[in-house]
Amino acid sequence: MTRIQHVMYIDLSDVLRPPGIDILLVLVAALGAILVSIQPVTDPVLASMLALEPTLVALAIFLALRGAAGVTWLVQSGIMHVYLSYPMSRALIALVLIVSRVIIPSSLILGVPLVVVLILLGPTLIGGVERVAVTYLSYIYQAALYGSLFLLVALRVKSQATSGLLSVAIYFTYTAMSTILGSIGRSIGSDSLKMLGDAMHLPNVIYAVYVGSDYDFKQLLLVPLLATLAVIAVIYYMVRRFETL
Amino acid sequence: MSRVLRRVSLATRLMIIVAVALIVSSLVAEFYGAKMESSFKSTLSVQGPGAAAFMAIAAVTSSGRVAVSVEGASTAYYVVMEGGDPTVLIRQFRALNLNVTAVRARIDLRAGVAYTSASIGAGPQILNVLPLLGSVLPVESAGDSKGLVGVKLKAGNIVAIVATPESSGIVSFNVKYDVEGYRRLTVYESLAASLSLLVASILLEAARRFRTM
Repeated sequence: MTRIQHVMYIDLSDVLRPPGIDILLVLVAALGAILVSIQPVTDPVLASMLALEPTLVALAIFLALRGAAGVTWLVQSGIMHVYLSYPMSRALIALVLIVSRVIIPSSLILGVPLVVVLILLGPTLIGGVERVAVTYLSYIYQAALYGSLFLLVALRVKSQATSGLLSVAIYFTYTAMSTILGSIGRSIGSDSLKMLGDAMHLPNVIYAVYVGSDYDFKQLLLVPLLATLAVIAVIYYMVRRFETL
Repeated sequence: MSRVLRRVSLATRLMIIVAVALIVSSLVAEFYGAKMESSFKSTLSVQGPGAAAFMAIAAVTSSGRVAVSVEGASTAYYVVMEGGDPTVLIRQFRALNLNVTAVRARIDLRAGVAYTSASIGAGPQILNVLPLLGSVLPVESAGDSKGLVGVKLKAGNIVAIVATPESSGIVSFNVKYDVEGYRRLTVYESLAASLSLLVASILLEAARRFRTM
């Protein structure tokens, strides 16, 4: 096992330790499947969104409390100090943290409800699997944005409680801003504000693309761009500024 | 539980999670699952010169075929729109200074369809407004005692009907909506799938243990 795999394995064991994530997965998967079985959803994108929208809220809280705040535990317990003593670059350690604390948990938590929905509504959704995959990818980008921001906060404040609180506050501020900008844009007739508000939630843009509503190509780029910037910021902070206690 | 789960692999845990979620959701669906048909009836008293009856049917999450019979109408027109919301349409009519009364709205979540009916106190104006929404079509056999609209709706589409009354001033809409293109696993199929996953997870775990022995 290489050093990277070793660090990744230890970190993933912490993030995915039972029973917290197992209970969360059962709840979000059952809830998502119930939402698409109590109403006859025939559109693959709509079915995916119905299942993944509540899951994204649960995922954001998971990423804030288990993913990012867990990093502060690594710092306080001295494990991060051990990681940094390995012959690995800090950038690589930051990348491992992003993959094990953001990307893999997001893929799992968003993927399991979708698998249940695909099994349950298989006969209805079989023709639109590629649409389901694109919708899933848009949620992954959205989660990667939240998770990377939370990780940056955790590395900066190094306190579990403060990091958890700040991350949840950032999440709700971001979602509220998206709604507020969209609403103001609609009420004053400003297309740019409305487009910005809508673009802050990538799955909405994907839905607009598939149903043929008005959208701008730039709207598709906002969340992936912000997520990439957040990842770069985490790596930069880890390399240039981060200090263990 | 934590100790048991710690001993099994992530793949096994995921298979158990999917199996449990599948059983729970299919049981809920069995008792409160989607309906394949829905109906709505609305009788409107349309009084005053130029007044009209309005009915909108929106396929919110489902796709299907809607059949509307209109009784008591001298003329009736309908328009099919892509996207929109019937309650928003009512608000827009009010914004155009149309006198909208007797609004009745119902969302049939289990059929994924929404209905809105209303009495509108300015027929010629509403007929002028309709072309703004889409291409207006006359309701077949309108002018007799009964007209019939049959439209296939995709999720997100709306059909809006405007009818001017005969001398009685009473217009009735009978709506029947049949969901098309939706099928989910039955509770037995879901149970079979869940059991298969549980058996597969046991076999996977046994193979893993056997390999590490």
